[in-house]
Amino acid sequence: MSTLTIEKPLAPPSSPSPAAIAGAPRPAMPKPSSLLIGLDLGTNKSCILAGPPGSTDITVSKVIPSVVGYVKDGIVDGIITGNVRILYGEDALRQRLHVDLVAPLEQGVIAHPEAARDFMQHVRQLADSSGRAEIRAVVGVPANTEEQARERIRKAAQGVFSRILLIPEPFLAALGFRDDSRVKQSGYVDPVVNSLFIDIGAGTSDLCLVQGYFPTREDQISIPFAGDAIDSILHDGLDRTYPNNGLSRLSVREIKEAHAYVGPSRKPLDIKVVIGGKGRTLELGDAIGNACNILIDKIYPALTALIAASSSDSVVTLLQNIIITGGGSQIRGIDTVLQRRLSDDGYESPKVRLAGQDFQRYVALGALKAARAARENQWQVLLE
Amino acid sequence: MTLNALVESLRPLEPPWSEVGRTCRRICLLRAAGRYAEAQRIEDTELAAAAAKASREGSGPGPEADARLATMLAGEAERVAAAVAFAEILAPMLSERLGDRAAIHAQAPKHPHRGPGTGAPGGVRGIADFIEEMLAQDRAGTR
Repeated sequence: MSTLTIEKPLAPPSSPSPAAIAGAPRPAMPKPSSLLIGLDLGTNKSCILAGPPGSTDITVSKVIPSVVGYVKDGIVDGIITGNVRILYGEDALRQRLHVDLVAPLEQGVIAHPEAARDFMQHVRQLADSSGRAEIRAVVGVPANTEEQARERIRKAAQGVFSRILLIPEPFLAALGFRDDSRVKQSGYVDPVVNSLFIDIGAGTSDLCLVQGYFPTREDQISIPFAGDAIDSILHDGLDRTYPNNGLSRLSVREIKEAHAYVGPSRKPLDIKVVIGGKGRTLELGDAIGNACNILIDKIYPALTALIAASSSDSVVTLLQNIIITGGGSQIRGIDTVLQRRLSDDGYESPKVRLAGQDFQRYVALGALKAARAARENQWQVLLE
Repeated sequence: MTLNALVESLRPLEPPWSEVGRTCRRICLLRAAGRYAEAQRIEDTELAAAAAKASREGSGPGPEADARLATMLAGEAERVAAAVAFAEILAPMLSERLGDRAAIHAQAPKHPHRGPGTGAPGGVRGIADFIEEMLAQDRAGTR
């Protein structure tokens, strides 16, 4: 951790106003503004939630494409609003003709450090437009991320956030998914107490046993096969079936997001696309199904390995609490196919369910909860 | 912080500011434990009352009392942070020197029986406890 050290402590999140304490009408001393961020730094999309410490308020909630656009040389004045040199997220994608697009992450880890740093600055700007707040961030990382990848995140955040904590994404997803208002209710099955989370993102699919203690390395499996890999296979399949189709990777991803499914073939699946300016209908039932079913083949062995690692006392309840989140949870039939496969293999009444419509926010929500609960000595200080 | 300075810092303050000092330390300890809401509540009630009382019994409310309170709070915050850092450094050193790795492993259990809810007895564990386990695993190299 070369970027970290213990330094003189920062000002506490809030200090009392001596003037107010003394009851005098003098103006209060300005309190240092502090803000907490929960950040799901994803390969394709990132979710940012922010709020003040000591409350449950969420003041910023955004999901943005994880992309930075560097404006190309020679673009005439006025083409880019404000003549800025760097665009982010949707703005960068809208101006894709005029910028060099860089995705800071590949397969869940930072692949382009400078773009990652610029992206972090953008995250900070979104959370605190004043630019003056002292910001602490909990950032999700794929399960079992190597130290080198963690260090890259710290370096990208150096000078942007004052303190940071890196926590595995599937555990944060469990924290985010937990309904805190019901934790003490007798009928509520707390996902943090006994569950198995499958977080399918763009770069990695992460599986994690969450059983009331912090998951060890053995409780987590990260598979470098997820949404992007499906896009790649689908794109190759399309090129074989429809040579010279001219579809970009982004178009292929949009087709996948709209029509992805697993299980038996849903042929015919006719999809209208525009190729070379002309509308054309492609039959993509098999191409999409084949690409997505590979994901099941990759995930299933990891799922059964983690089930096998749980104790006989807990496994029956665990089988009732298998939760899929992340973008991959939007693949049609993924819950029923996994559940049926477990049943067919003799597992006792398995129940696989989807996290729900907030699937893009659970990791960041868990990260913000962790940020609010973290003890002062648990934060890692980032020196400028 | 040297041992002498530490002892000096722990020396009780003279009345009427001793109560203010104790309350400041409690607030800083709560903040260090991530219990901001509780710290804020004490700050708004007990500290406000203690400081007002000390001001009245001293030279009265004014810039001097304000400055003294601000200095006490800043001093306590620094002391608590230094103590936390000191403990972070000392604990693993002691553990290693005494050949007793049990302390670390107790924080990063292997959970051989892998039962659910094996944490704190009789209740839901706090998120900070999970983070502590994660950090202990990092220190022990088990993650």
